[in-house]
Amino acid sequence: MKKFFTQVLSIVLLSGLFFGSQGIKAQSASAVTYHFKGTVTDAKNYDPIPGATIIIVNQNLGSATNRDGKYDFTAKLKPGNYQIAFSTVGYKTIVKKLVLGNNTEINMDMAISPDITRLNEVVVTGVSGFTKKSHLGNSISTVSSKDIQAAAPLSIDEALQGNVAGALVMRNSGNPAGGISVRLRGASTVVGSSDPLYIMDGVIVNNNSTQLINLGGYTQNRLVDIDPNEIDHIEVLKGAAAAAIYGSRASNGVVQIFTKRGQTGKPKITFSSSVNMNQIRKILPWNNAQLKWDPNDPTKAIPATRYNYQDYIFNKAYGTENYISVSGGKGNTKYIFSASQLSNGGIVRNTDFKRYNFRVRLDQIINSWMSVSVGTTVSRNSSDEMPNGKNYGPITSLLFADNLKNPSPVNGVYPNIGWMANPYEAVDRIEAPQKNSRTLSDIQLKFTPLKGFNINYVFGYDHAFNDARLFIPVGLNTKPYGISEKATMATTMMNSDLNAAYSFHLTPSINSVTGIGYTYQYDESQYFAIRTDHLAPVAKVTDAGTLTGRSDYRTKRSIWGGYLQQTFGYKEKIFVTLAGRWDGASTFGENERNQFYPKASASYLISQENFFKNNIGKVINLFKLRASYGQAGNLSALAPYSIYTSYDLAPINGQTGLVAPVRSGNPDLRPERQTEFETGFDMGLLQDRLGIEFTWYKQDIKDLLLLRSLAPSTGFGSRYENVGTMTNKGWELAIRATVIQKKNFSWIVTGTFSQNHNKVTHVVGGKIDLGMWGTSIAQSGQPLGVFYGYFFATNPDGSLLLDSKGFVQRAKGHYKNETLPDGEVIPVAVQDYDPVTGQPKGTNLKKIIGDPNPKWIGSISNTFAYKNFSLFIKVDMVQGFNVMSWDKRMFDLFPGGEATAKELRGEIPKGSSFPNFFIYQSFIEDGSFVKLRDVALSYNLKLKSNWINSLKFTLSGSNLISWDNYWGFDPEVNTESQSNGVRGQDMANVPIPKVFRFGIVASFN
Amino acid sequence: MKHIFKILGIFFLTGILLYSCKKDFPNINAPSDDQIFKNKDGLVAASIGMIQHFSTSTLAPIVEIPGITTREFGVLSTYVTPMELTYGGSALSGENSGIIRLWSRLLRDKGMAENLLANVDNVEMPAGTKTGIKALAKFMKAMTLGYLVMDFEQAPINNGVDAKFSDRTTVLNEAVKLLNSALDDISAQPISDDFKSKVIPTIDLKNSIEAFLARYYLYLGDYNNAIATADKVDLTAKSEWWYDGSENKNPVFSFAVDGQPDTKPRWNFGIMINSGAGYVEYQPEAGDGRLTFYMDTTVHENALPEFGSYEVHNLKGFFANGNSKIPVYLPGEMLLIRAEAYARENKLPEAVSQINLVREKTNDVFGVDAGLGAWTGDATSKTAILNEIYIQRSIELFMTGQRLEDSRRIHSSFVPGQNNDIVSERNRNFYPYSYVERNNNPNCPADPNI
Repeated sequence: MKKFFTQVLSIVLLSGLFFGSQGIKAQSASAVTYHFKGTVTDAKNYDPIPGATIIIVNQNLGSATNRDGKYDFTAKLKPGNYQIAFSTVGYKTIVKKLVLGNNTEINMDMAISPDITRLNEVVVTGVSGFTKKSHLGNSISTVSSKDIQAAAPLSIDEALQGNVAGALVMRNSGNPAGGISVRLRGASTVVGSSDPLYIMDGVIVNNNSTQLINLGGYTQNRLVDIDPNEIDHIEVLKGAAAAAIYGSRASNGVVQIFTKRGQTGKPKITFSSSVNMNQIRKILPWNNAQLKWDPNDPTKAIPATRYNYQDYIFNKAYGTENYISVSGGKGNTKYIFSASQLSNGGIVRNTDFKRYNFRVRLDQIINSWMSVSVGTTVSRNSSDEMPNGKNYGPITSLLFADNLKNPSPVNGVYPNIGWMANPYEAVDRIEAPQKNSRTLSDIQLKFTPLKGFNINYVFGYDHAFNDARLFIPVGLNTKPYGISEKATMATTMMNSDLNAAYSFHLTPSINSVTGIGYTYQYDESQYFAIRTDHLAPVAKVTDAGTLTGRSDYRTKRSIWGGYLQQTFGYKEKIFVTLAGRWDGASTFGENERNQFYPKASASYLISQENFFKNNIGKVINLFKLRASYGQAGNLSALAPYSIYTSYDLAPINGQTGLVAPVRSGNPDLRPERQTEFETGFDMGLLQDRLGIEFTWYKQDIKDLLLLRSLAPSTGFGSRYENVGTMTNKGWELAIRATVIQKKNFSWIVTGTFSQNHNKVTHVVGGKIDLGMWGTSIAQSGQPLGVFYGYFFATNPDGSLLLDSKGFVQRAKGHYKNETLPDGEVIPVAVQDYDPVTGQPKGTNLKKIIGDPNPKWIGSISNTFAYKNFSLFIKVDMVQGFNVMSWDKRMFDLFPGGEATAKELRGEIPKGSSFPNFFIYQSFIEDGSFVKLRDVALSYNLKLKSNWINSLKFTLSGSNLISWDNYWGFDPEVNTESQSNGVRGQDMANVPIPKVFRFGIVASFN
Repeated sequence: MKHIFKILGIFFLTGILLYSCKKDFPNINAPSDDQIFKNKDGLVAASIGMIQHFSTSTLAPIVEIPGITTREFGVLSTYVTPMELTYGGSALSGENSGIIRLWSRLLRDKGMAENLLANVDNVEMPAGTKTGIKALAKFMKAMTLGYLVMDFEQAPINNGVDAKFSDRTTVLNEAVKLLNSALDDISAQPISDDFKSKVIPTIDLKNSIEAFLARYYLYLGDYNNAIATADKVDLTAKSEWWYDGSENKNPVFSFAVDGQPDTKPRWNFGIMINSGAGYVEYQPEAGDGRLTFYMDTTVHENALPEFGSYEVHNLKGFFANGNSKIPVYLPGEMLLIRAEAYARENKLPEAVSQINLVREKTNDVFGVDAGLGAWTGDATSKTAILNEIYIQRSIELFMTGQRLEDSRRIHSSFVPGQNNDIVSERNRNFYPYSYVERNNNPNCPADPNI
């Protein structure tokens, strides 16, 4: 592969030289130096636009406007006819004819209008160089800094929420540093992460969610290190068809983040500051009966005092955020540096998150054919977490405890409330802090040795050091000897990418762009942990206790690949692209690791045709049909060394033994492969007052990796195997409309809607457990992660079959073998009844009882602007999915829940909620929700002062209202954190808070 | 020309950056199976690992799971695993994580023993080391087979894909065969001192093999061999599983003593006596030294009301601390094996004299001294003698994982019901098979009725 690739590279290189040198000769013969200058303004309000790009089309010559919207540059060109293009993110690109003659002073002012429909944007992700979105054969979503700032998100993935059609963004925990899962067009893997590949300024970003200390499944996600204030815009590729150019890691899609850059001009200072308040939105229905069962007559309720533990566990928490940036530039140098501070409290008492970010970026044009850009982001953050789970999780205790006991300390001593932790003691005394340092650096070199020939080299470096501790002081009721644990993780990722593109006109009407590239990515990690107990008093370090465990685990991995991509364009109307990519990763077996991924796409801008223009062109000003096919792999799904059966190390008695591992190795593992076909159209109506993008897609994932359970009688517990196939089918729709556009008032509506049907088409054996005690499964013919468990006994007519007490009960019967569509045979439950009593008879039965995959998702944003006021309202909808509420299960059985209250009050018979505990179907809930995600009211004060330019005040609220029928805190949760197969499980989770915020943004001259 | 140099320069520089690509990284964290079983050091390390895993991990469910079923433990939490075990009957399924742990850990250890046996003859090493590895692996395999059929109706003799199951007699016969073969290995070539000091410094392997052999002969009903083998065991020898109290904790301490445990021992050893009109709690005889040996009788607590509110105490004995050592077998068991074998052979006076040896014992090498007087029951009644043997086994062999087997063998006429049962001496005869086995092995037999 490599040899072949080297050959291709040299051929292209040589041909490039050949074509290029011809061009140089022709050009240098009679070139004249022209001087271009002018101002670019917003066509709507005549504000100058800084950072707009001015390009002489096909000449690779151009410049950008400074902070006053002015541009000024010289270029050597042969007199003749050219095109000059003005563009910037969020605005329509304008291309004008340019006739160069004897006048060498070219003055051109340009007013460009906002691109509400986003159909003409210039994008760089997945293409060779800058390409207009309207030329692409695949859909690509962009999120501008305006979209992001409207809601002032605290993390990058939050910035995607509701802004990208086909993206399901779910917060996994309401902790201030809690992770968020992003799924583009459904799940494409089971064992790996389904989160997309994140690239920030060319650096492949570490998006790990490593559990350093056991906090009961809760993890942070490393994207939390990055401050969304730094984002200029985001480009999102959603599937293999578009992302084939990223090959090996792109089967989940690609999110490319571009940070803000400096503009030439006087230094510009922007400062923003906000304060916010977080609050729990809804508490669990607890036992507020103020009654208990009489110990002498268990059928009688007598008065008692019951405590609302949630009152203490949850509190109002406050936060502040500050951001300052200084940007500017002179001549060939541009710079920006920024600093930010975030401090946010968690709604669980004594939890918080603090983040400090520093960033600097320098852009330097070295000479006419070479430029360099260097950037570094340093992030330092810390959080105080609260564990979940047995012995010390406060919310776990809440679910199990009988709230008759007052957990408040008496004379400083927290009472023992039984075998579960005293929740007040847990939140007050347990410390689980995490500290993270992050450095993201990049060096980008751009060469334009010849006209039409670009070479880009990017070196990316991402280093993260995470430190997590758990400290349980001596004397905690459930852990009397105390615990001190410390774990660190050092992760380094590097990527080195070389890309070249050559574009030229084959004939006057056919344009050709050839792209070629090679990447080498290397990452290493070092995990180190020490666990101790029996602590000495006061001291918190691990040295203060006796060793109970330790861990030292190091990994190294490399991924490499190259591509060749060819695009032909015909008269700005028809575009055809073909590409191939070769990839490999060290994590797979020698024979399986190298893979080839093809891609093909085409687009047809019908609105460019005269017959179209002359007929319905007045109404539909842009209409493009597109189709795209491609494959991409998932080389990063497997952790390093998964191909080996590596024995566990077991030191004992002065010797170190080797213990057979639970997971057996498999040397024949292959990367998963996704094949995607997508087609759709982009439409601009009424001179882009209304823009519609529609895409239909179908993804087939083969060689799906699954952690297959092995019969214990093999001596092992599990093994990775390529034993599945899966499909995603769906559509996505984005609508952007300017409903009202008056001088003083405007109303813009943006809507995204999508539907995805996920189906596991084959797993070996028909059914595989994914986690949560076998309640999340993958079964052939079913969506991934359907819930499986005990269900209600029903009569043959489907009505509930009650027991002799009139209570619901578990279905019983036998299992019958049934052949699934893929030929696998699985046992399927059949209910049996006692012929005499009619009651259930046989073994307890399980079946599929719910589906965590939403039927459709949508989001609608409204932006109203009146004079200097603007109001932003965003509503997110996730509909038609189930949540398995383990919280409800516990509250049905244990006396701290509402069920016991109802029994005590005599509203329902005593003991009637107990059977629910065993019927998993009873705690499958409808999770469908419509959330008022964001409401923000802003006032923008324009100042004519010499030193201050503008002041903007924003009052906003997030997650204020959720319209749902969910029993628990919030259906938008996931206990198993970033896990892919296990979704929609809610157990002792911290809910997402509602947030109120007040902020000021000031920009200074 | 200038341009050509420019381009070549760029490609040269970037080429250097790109071609430092490395594509293979060995796993430095742990050796893999194909590296371990090719040399002596690997086999010795795997032998140590097998003991480490069995003693620190597998021993926990061996004691805990049948211990809850036969009332050795009172349950103090409503976690599902101990709750289902306390209720027994049909409340218990192959999804109980305790049963899953018991099943899979035993089979994992058995697999390690089988790997050693399959590879030991292909590796050059000193003869005394080879004997050590072979005899230890056979002992471990026999022991895991034995523990499997003490709690499950059938078990696979050999691990593998779609492993075939055998009934308990066949399995126990295989265990006997393995133990005898291990004894042959040792008599042909003694275990080297190097192996003893490195791998089994706290275990007298020959005595342990004979003790387990005697146990399995008794289970099989081969009473003559049971007596003869029990006679061979040196009652003054000690064999112990070793713990350091930090990285390798006493596993029973971990689940029944440390912190706020789910389960604690019942004050009367949890012995339930069938009075004819239902089950009643056995009252320990005054002055039985084993009560204070195994329990801290000064602190009283009660199991949860839904689990019978039985009085529980804090556990002592072999489980008091994280570094308490656990005997591989107890010498008192040899006396009780002889007592039962004699009784079964209708040699009642011999049986009673063995019972009295246990009751009057004051010189136990581990300190398990009853210090009671001679038995005063009906020495002419085989049933009465067997009942006394059941009680003595229940106390003497407290928390050795044997009570389910004992109760089923000695009180075989009692059949537990399908409903929740927190009173009778056991609420299951055998456990259902782990659902993981059932889902992945077509040869997994049907679950027992009870």
